[in-house]
Amino acid sequence: MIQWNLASFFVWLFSLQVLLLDQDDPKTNPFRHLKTLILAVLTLIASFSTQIEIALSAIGVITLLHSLSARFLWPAAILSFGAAFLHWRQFENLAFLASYFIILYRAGIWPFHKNVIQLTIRAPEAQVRQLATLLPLVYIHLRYLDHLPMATWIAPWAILAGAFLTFLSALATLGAKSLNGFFSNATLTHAGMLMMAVAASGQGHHGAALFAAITMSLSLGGLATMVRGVQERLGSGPFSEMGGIASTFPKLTIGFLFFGAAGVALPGTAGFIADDLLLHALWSGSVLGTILTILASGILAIATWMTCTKTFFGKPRIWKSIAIFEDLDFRDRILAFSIAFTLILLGFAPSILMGPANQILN
Amino acid sequence: MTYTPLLVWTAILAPILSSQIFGTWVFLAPRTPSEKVVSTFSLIGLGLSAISNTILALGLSKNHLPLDLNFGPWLESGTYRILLLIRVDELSAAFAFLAAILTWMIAHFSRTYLHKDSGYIRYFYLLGLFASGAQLVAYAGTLDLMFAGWETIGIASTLFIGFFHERQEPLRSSIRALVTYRICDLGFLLGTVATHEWLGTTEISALKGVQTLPILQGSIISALFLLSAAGKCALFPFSGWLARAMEGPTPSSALFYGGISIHVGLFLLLRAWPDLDVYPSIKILGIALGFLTSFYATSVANVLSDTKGKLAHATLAQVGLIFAEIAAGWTTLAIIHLMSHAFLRVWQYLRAPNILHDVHRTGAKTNQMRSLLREKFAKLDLFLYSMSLHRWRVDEIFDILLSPLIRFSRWISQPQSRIKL
Repeated sequence: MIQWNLASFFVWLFSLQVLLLDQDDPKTNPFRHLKTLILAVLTLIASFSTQIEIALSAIGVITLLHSLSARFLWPAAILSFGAAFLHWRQFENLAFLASYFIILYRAGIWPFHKNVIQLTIRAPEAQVRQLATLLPLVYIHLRYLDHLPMATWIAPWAILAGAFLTFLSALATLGAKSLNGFFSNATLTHAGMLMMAVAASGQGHHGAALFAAITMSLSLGGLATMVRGVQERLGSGPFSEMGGIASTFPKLTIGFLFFGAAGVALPGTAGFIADDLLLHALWSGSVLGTILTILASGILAIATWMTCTKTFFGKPRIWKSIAIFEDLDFRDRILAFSIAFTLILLGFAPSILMGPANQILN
Repeated sequence: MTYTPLLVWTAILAPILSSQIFGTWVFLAPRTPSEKVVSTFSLIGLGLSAISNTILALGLSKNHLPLDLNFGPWLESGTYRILLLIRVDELSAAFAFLAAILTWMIAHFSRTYLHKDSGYIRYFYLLGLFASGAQLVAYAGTLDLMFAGWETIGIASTLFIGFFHERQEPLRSSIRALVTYRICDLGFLLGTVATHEWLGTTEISALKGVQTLPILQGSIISALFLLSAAGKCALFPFSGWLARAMEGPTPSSALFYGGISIHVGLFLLLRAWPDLDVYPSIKILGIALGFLTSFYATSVANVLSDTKGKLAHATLAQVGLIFAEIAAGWTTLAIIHLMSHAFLRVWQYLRAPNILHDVHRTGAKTNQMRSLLREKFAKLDLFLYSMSLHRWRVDEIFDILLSPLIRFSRWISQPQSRIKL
């Protein structure tokens, strides 16, 4: 039976995904709307199907479509079909492991981080797309596969491993020498958090895991839009070639600051709730993991502010003649506003998602 | 009072909502609003907060306090739930009133002080953000809610320090402040999670249960909150960021480092300390930290030549004393000290730009007794002077401690920059 309040939330999330998915340049991809429509329909099928095999197969097709622009995704697509097959043959533990592996692989957990780094640097919008369609997979995993004894058994180990990877990725954001470097490492930090959240759901924190995944997708989606905005205007050089653009592009600066802060637990946004839930969920799995995650979140916050100061602030760069470029265009502003609105709505009233999510997932 | 919930929510939400209105306007509309529109919206929001707090403070009956307003669970996940719990008592009403009145006065003062400044809209937006954060800290009935306000204040403080973003120095100072805040937030967050796990809830009133915990667990919770408060108050050895925080606009320095932000850590202690004050070792640590900070700040304030730096350290000296008072259990004295100190310092900070004029008018005075002592203890005096001049090298020690982490972060990010596209 469909839970209508959750369904309505998914429809809202789905429209946001359409906005996130529809980021191709119309000149380079004339069929972008068709591609977006196909992806969106498949996402709906994956989210609302009550047959796990159909849902996993839909995810497989989505991943296959993504693999056209990101070749590293084809093993994940095949594995999705494999997971569906395994579940059909009632090898539930193997299906659970396959599904968890796909989440980690697509999120960019070490040792698969190189693929995600390459994608975030080469085409941030493609990374946003593949993150947006990772949400239904997380939902399916939490709903159908994460109730097995194996999930409880691997939870403490996965939390600890995830915490170390999160901490190391957060440290790498601190040492990043370019905006791309920062964004790719921030993506990996969130991937580590997702790994922990999904693992912690094995101990009964399903709602928290879904909330963390949605927040990650939204805040990184917003951040990617801003990173793409900077790249279109200034190119993707090191920090030494950046700076001083805040007065020329104030909206881009505000957007970057907001989404960066939302990703590191800005109060009043879903990021704060997600971090809070995650920490409480992690404690029962690993105290050390909790401490490392708090440290990682703190380091990422510092790195976000440092990146902002190096990219947007400082002496104005007149020699770049940046004044010929416009600030965020209307479409990007609407996209950023919609994502920001959702983050704030979930930050002030998290129960609109958590209530039905807990009902269904637990 | 029947209207207490409405008044409390107005006090908390009005400033941020008014800021959000013109913030959304700026982001979506092609033209930015005028200074008058921005300041009017901001003053309405802050004014509503101040009025609500005044009515609340005047209408509260001591017989009905403390008043816990429970609005049900804010969120639930598994066994974990955060209650939307507001606590109204003499302490929260006094601190919220202080914060609301001072913020409104500063906003009113800033209308002309920041006239034609390129960051005018940003300034008033941040003021609204800060005001809501301060109100949330004051009225929070759970540690999670208090942390939300606590972090909001920290973010607003960081952005105010880096307000003049065309120069590098304010940006560097804001990073230093943020690093200190995040180190100390570790204490608050861990303390909150530990409280939930060991006491079963994050309600502030549940901290009474610390006395029933084994000594190790109780000491850990107390020490974590002490660390958190110490960082927010810029206590020694976390004092390095305070002098640098003066890079922001003078009215915001007055509000943050003279009035409210610097005292928020003390508020946390006033809220929690009566329940945490069960271990003599933690008590002694708190008193020692307070006195050490007071000594440090007095010595530095005596040798500094810039007015705002002097004022910052003079403030810190008093904050150290208040910290020691709370740790010693003299909470009533500490509340009176805190309130009067906040008002005095805000006034002094706002007068700081006029100091040259004042000195010319009144003339500088020398202290003959101090000169005599200096002659007698020349070596000690020289040592103290040079150490104070370098602010006891707290920044350098901080940098040395953090440098391995920074080096490691650079090393770890190197392989990624070599990844082929």
